[in-house]
Amino acid sequence: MKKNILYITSLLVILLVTSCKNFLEPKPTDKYSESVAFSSEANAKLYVNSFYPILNYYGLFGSAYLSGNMYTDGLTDIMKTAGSTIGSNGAIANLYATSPGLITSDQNSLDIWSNAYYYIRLINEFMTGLDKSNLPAGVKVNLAAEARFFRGYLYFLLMRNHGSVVLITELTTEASHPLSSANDCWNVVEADLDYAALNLPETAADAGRITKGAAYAMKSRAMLYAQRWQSAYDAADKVLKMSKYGLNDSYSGAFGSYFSGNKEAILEFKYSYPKLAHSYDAIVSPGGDDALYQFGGDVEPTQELVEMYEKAGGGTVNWAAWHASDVTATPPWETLEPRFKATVLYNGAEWKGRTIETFVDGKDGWTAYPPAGGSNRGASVTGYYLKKYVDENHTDLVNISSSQPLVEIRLAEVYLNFAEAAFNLSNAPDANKGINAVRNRAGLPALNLSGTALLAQIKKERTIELAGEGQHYWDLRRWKDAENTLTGKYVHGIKIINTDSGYQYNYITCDDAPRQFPAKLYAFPILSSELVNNPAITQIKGW
Amino acid sequence: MLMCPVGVAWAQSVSIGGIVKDEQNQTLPGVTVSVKGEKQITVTNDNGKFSVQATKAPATLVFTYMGFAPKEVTTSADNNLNVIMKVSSSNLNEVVIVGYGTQKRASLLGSVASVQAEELTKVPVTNLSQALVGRLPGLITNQSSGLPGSDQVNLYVRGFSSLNKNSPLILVDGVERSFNNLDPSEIESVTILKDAASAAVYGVRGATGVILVTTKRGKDGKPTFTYATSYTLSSNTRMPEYLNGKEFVNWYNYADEINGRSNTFSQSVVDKVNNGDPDGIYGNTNWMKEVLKSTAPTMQHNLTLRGGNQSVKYFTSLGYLNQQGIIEGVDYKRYNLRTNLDATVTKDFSISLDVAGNVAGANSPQVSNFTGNGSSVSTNLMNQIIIAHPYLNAKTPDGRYLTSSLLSGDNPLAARDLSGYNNNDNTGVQSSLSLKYKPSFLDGLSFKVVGSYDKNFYHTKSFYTPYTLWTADPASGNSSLYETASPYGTIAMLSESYTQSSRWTMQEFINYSKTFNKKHAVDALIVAEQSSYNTTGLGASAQNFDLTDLDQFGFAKDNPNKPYGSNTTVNRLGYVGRVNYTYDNRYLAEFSGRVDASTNFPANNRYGFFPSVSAGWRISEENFFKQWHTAVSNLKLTASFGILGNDVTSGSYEYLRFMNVSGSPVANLGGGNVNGMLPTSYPNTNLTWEKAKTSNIGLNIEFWHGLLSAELNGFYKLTTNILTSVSNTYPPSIGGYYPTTVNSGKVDNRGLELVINHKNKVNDFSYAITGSVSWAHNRILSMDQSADIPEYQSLIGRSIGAKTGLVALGLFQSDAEAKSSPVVSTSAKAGDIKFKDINGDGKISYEQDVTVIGRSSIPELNYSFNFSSSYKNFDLSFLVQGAAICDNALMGYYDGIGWDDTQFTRTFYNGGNTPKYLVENSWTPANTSGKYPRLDNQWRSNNNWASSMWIVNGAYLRLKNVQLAYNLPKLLKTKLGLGEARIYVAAMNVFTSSAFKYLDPEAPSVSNGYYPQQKTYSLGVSITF
Repeated sequence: MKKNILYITSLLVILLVTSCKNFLEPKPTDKYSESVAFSSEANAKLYVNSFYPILNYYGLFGSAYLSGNMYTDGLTDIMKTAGSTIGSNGAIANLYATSPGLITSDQNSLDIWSNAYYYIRLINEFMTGLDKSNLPAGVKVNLAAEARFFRGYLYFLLMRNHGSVVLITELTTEASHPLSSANDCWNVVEADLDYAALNLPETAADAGRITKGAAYAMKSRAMLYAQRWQSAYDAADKVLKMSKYGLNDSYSGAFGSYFSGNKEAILEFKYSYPKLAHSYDAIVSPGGDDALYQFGGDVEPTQELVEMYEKAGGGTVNWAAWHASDVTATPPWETLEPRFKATVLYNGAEWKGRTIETFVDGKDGWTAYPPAGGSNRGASVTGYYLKKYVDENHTDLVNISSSQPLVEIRLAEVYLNFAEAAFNLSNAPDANKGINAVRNRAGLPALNLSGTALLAQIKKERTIELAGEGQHYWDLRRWKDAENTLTGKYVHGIKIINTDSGYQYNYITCDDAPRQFPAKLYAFPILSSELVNNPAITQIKGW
Repeated sequence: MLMCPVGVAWAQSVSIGGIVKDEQNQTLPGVTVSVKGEKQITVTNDNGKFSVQATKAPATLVFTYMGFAPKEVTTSADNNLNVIMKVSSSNLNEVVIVGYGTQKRASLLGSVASVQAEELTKVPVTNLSQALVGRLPGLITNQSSGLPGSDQVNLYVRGFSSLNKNSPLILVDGVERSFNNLDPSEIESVTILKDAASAAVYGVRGATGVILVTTKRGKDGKPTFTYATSYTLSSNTRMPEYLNGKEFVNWYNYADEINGRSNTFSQSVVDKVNNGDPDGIYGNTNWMKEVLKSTAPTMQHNLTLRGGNQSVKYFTSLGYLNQQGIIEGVDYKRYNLRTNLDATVTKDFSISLDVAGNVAGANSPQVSNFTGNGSSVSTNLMNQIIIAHPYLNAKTPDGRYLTSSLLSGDNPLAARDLSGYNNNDNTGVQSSLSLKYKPSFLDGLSFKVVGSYDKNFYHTKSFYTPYTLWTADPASGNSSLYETASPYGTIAMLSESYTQSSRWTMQEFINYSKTFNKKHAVDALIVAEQSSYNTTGLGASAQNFDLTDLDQFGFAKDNPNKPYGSNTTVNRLGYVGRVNYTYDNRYLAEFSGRVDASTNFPANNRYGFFPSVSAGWRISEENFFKQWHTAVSNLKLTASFGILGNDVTSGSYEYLRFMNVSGSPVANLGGGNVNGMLPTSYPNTNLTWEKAKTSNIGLNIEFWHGLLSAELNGFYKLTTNILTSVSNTYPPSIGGYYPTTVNSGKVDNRGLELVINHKNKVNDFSYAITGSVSWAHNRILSMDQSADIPEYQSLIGRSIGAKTGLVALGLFQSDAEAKSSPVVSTSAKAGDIKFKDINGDGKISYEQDVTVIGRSSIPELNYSFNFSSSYKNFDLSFLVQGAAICDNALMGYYDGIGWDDTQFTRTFYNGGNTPKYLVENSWTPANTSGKYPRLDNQWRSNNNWASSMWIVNGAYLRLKNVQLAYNLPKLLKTKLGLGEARIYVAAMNVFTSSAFKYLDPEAPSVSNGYYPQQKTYSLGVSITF
């Protein structure tokens, strides 16, 4: 007995010492090994899918800028965001608009550096792996083209912010990278978008993947920023010559998906409630839509935008009579061209089977800026609401998020890119052709302008056509027009009072301080987290 | 020849005899009686009698007996000597639990502290950790919440010494187990191992200290039942007073006036608040009173049975705890059952079987996150209570819940009663089987095998039910209300998850213990230990219920989120060796070490060796010292050095790279949603454990056999290879292509612990006093920060947890002063905070001018004064405990957002109600000497930064507990047939003194609303029969 127990004990000890080979090599049971990444084309595609959220994040409904990209227009004269307290209703846009000193190398809500380079690294890593993989050559080219589109897009966005950036096109652990010359950087943007355009099919096998047209369209936009007019012109021209695209008959229909018949949509990101959704409707809808009176009306067109629109069928409108208080005549909203009605909701406009009431204490309401408590709580500051992109059929804003598609590039923009490139190539006929294509769809007469008048019209047409699409702030910077347009200016609205004898219209200032745009904002600073850890980099001049 | 001198000796010898008794006049058998300076030794017989021969007279007899103070008697021939021996108060013979065994305190080399059962159950506590506060020198404690089920105390052995995990390894009966669900009544002792000498046997996991919990076992004797019960009432320790309705509207309007705005509250609203509102909307509500109970009861019952004979010993315990929260719907219930059995099978072979189980459940309203963490402020019911506007009634006369349009908040009463519930259940089983074999033919050698298997089931269920609020609009002043959904949405949501964890542990022991030639005592131990820990989880959620009466998935209309599952395993293997050598009870030495392998590390770094060496000198046992023995009964010096490890990693397999398939779609391509796949973060292929090199010097001194004793320990601990995030040292442009954590941190920690004990008995009054002070100071020697960070921002050389922010110089007294000073925002004016422009660039920017402004919230100094006494049938004890060298921040740190104001730093923060002291002491044109910034009801960019204005000294002194007990007199007990009977009253957290008197000094740093520690009063009875 005793001996047996002794033996058993000893045996157990020995067993333990020798039997643990597998014990210390457990296999993970809820994670995939990295070897699956390129083991099949399907897997590699799954990898590429992960780059598509870039379109969402930097797009109109994404949160890349100012905690919501739709707020960037609020930095310009055409939109006013409603909140004044950090964390509410695009307040940062208001703060930045009047106190640009808040933008520093330590903090900048318009900065995208870290996220963009994170994706660039992922794309570089993908391409390194793809290159080494055993996938067929044709598959490799196609997947690389898709990935390089995104890299080109990201470098374009970085260049748009800073004017010159760090170029990293291969996987690296090296911390030292100087800023490259603008020329080298734009070369990378151009090369990536060219590679994508050359190698991608005109029609993707999976609806929604990047196509040849999307790559050229993006290139036409990016090259305007690069001031490579010929490249922009050529890229736009390629798109305009593709038969698969065409301007939608109506401007209000220009924001639908290509796959539901909007031939104008060239590059889009589709949403699908509930798993892929955004909250644009809840953020932008007029306060009266939301019976719960909690949110809405965060981005509001200004009187400045409203006054840019021509009369329906052409002709300017004289607004002088409404730059006053206690006016009883109704502003000429009804007479404006269709793009106004598709973009702006005004007092009396038809909406969701009811009439918009932006007067004081109306269903959609009005509030002074800054609003009490910091939040407009669904009321309008300017007397207008933004209509563009808002889904009129969406009713339960509180519980159901939005799923209207994002049309990142539509053909109208390509016409305008074409016009601007042509103008800079001294090709006035093509420039006029570009803006007239857009005007024609809006029912406006064709123009034949030249010189500065042509340039001014190109800019105006672009401002109106793309209002509320998150482009205007960047265009103003690109044109170096931001200082002139903004510094020392206030944006305005119309406060409507409902009296027994009808409405009284009052021209009001919607800013609590004049807007400011110092010239150094044309290139944002490099963030200090990069400066202190990258020995080779130096701060952009002026910061 | 040989006989001759002996014969001479015999001729002169004297015979001495007598009886030995204790102070109660009971005879003492087994007392060793020796003649001083001679070899004669005998032992008292069963009747306490002895007889001994001494060679010369008078002779000095020395009486020694375990547990009694030695006694010397000088006498000539005497056959009726009557010797009374006094019980020794010395603890030198006490057996102390150490890693993988026990040791006598006299020969202990490591730095350990322990607390016994009686101390643990003196005052009823709901969590064992609460009973440890102030009782273990070297243990730094902090209890930040009093929430039933989550009111455990954070324990840190000798403070902080790592930038990662600082919580100690907790072993219950030798196996890693949580002790949160243990019933304090089933615990025999709790021991903390502080230095490398004592913790080295725990190798890669010992660096942050080890806590050994031992449960009670059976005892020789007849079966003894003990029934203990207590009833406790608890209430909040501290909550500031908030503005009432009238004060709120007046101060709010005054803030408007200062700002040059029109009054938010119209005169008609002010009148309604002051004089009553016929519509029943405006009034004067004290939300604390409305939502919180004044006291909440806790009930505990415990029944144990203990007994045994030579072959079988048993201990079995059944416990029940029902703890009600101060908020209706908050409660915690726990059931415990434990049976520990020891059986001697043969003379050499014994077996033990321990089985314990617990069932615990915590409930709370669904909207009730009490942690105070910033990211969930909106669901924090305590926060809702303190921000709720007091000028509104809680409900309209027809029962509608009211809220204000000025507040993006809730109605806390509605949140409490209508929001649904959270429910956390935990069921655990712990079992151990141990076989011990001590072959009699192999002297000194013994073998033991212990196998343990624990399983824990966690179940959480949360059901949110939407409700409706009615919003009053005091700005407009009209009496119409509009319907508003609760801030958490109009869709009912159900989520439920199951997690189970299992751990098996095998330990094999070979022990050799023998004394050679009476002088060389050797104790050697080899242990092999292997454990595997697995967790498996499953969770799901669904939403949109037509009816909300039943909370089952089947009734939900949508399930937008997929169910999720997880499974991870961590395996560990270790070999322990320890040799302890004692020469003549004077010189002590110990070598121990452990080889450990952990799957948390890559194959090339999987094995580590953790050695320690220690030595001790019992000076009091030296011959030259013996002359002082009556006064100084023990004097021991010890020193140790060793290397310990900390195998914490932020996840398992961090050294491997994986592809992560997204759980939710990333895009809609080809007509449907598609998932994506991305590589996980860059692996650290050189991942290894933290290394803590610890030195310890100890001094033990005892006077007059335990009347007074002191223990002094000093330590220095250098922790290297601390896993730290390095994201701040790489430029973002390389896109995260580097390991997120590397073993680069370095921290040192030094400290002193002093304990002084005094025990005495004067007639019927006996008492014991223990005073202890623990001080531990750590410094960061290396961590993740940019190389060219300015000196005033560098955290190197600072302590872990140091608070950073701007330096407040006071308040601007005029707008002109604000205009001419560097400010955060140009809108700063009189009454705003004036900050120090540290880098002198003429601007205040948080990134440039931030510096260290406060110490960690974890105290560097903990002290306690423990008094216990008994007089006849009464006993009284109390514990005063405190902490110092720490700071609290009134501003809050929000996850992912950073520092911001809180209710305690800005008047009408987030539009909510505000503490009275803050408003009354704020700067206003009428009160320019106000201590706090300008009274305002708007956000101001100048004042919302973390700054030294909001740092308060965290030192406190607490009357932690008091207990007065009455033991039934013997006569009465005999009549009632009881063994022991005792009734007591006790109180906890009775009195607290601290610099900032509005919040509990142990409140968490983000205190937008947290469930405070509780003050408790208990009545208890314990009966043995």
